[in-house]
Order: sequence, then structure tokens, then C-alpha cells
Amino acid sequence: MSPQDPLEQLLTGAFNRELGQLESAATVYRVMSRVRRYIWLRRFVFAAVVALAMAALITTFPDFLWLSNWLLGIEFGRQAIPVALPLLGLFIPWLLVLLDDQV
Amino acid sequence: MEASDETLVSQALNLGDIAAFEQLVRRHQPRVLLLQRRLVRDPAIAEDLCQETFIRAWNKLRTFRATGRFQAWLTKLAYNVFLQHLRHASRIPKHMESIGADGQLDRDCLVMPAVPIADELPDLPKLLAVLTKEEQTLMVLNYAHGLSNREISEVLGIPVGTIKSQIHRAKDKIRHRFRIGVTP
Repeated sequence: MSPQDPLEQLLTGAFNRELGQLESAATVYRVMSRVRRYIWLRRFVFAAVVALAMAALITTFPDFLWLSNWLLGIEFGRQAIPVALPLLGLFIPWLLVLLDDQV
Repeated sequence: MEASDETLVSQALNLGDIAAFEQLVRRHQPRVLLLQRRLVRDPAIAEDLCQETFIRAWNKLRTFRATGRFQAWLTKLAYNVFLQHLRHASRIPKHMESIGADGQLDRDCLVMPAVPIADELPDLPKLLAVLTKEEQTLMVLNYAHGLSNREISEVLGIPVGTIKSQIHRAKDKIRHRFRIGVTP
């Protein structure tokens, strides 16, 4: 069918007009907000899992305490570290969001 | 010069460039929204499904192969989101069922609503109102998304021949209903 066909012209014009009307900055904003929230949530879950895994590792194998002490650079007591590390882990996603200027 | 879809996908994927993905959303949002509106009819649900399509696109960006067109890949994703919505809503997609393996339509779908013929150029809703739901979907995929018959066939899982004949029939309906190029 030729592009000069009146029906083709009518349909193409009508679709283009409709698409122009549907262009919505608000929709784009909502989509991108959801994408950003999703990225943030995924990082948070990842950091929380890592933090819990570290806590489990330390409580199961106390020999790893020297490593955590060294990592933190602070002499936490044996009782404090299993609590402190997961708490620290929970702040990792916040730090990631702050540091990542693209998100 | 505007970056191609494939370049933007590559940037979003390899560099984690969310701005590139935002550009893709901006570019394709009207088409996806138009398709969802034709499929579900409820503007609020269509908006939700449009958002869901792009969230899924972000998650599945790695599955996109640069050999195909991003537009076709995204349209298939949008259609799958719609089908999932139907399953969740436990509704039977009546208009989808009406396309049989041989491409025959139910008689109900062929009943055309009375549309007044206006003197001025009819807008899209008026033009599409004379078509069945599946014909409307095909026209949206063909004209708004710019998909070829083969790409539409891949999206909807309908044979290419059926698509060709349905688009032809849809155009005929519009031509006769609005007396375009038809001598009285």
C-alpha cells in the first residue's frame, strides 16, 4: 500500500497525534521513581544479607573476630561485635545511595 | 544525533547508567501506554501495567539480544505483562480467545458499533472503535510500534498469515466505515 494512500495517511496521522498526547513526563517520573526504589531495595536486601552472613560467621566461628576487629580498627568486645557488624551492615545501603550519584 | 535504543541499552547494562534507561523510558512510554490502554481499557490499570513493563524491562535488560529490535522486545514484554495481569485478575481474555488457530473470529467480535461519521478528520479512538479488540491491538502494534508482521507474530504468537489478513480486514473496515477513498 502506497504511503500516499489516504487511509495510510489518516492512520499514521491519527496514531502520531495520539502518541503525542500520551507523552507524559509524570509517567516517566513515576516509572523512574519505581526503578530507583527497586534498585535501592535490592541493594538494601543485599547489604542486609551480607551483614547477617557476617554476623552468623562471627558467632559460629569466634576466630574470625580478629578479622572484624582489624576491619573496624576498633577493639570491640566479643559480645559487641556480632551486634555491631549487622548494624553497620544496615547502613551500607544508605552509604551506597549517598555515594552513587547516578541513582 | 540521538543515541539508538541498542546503544542506550548497552550503556544502561554495562555502565549501570540509569539516565540512559530513563531516555529509553521517555522514548517508548507513549507506545507502551497506548498498547496497554487498548488491551485493558481502564486508564489507571493501563498506567500501572505501563510502569510494570518498564520495571520488568530494567530487570530483564540482560536478556535483550542486540540482534533484534529493542522496540519488538519491549512490546513482547508489555504484552506478557498484560497476560499476567489477566491471569492475576482471573479473567478470561475473551477477545484473545476469539482468535482461533485458523484466525477465525467469533461472531460477537464482528458486530461493529454504530459510529457517527464526522465531517472532520476522525481521531484515533473513533477510527479504532469500528474494529474488534484484537484488530485494534494489531493496528497499534503495526502503526504505533512500527512492528513488522513477523514481529507481531512473535509478540502475539499468531501466524503471520492471520496477522496480514486481520490488518487488511481492519483497514477495509475503516475505509468503508469512514468512506475513505470509497466512491459512493
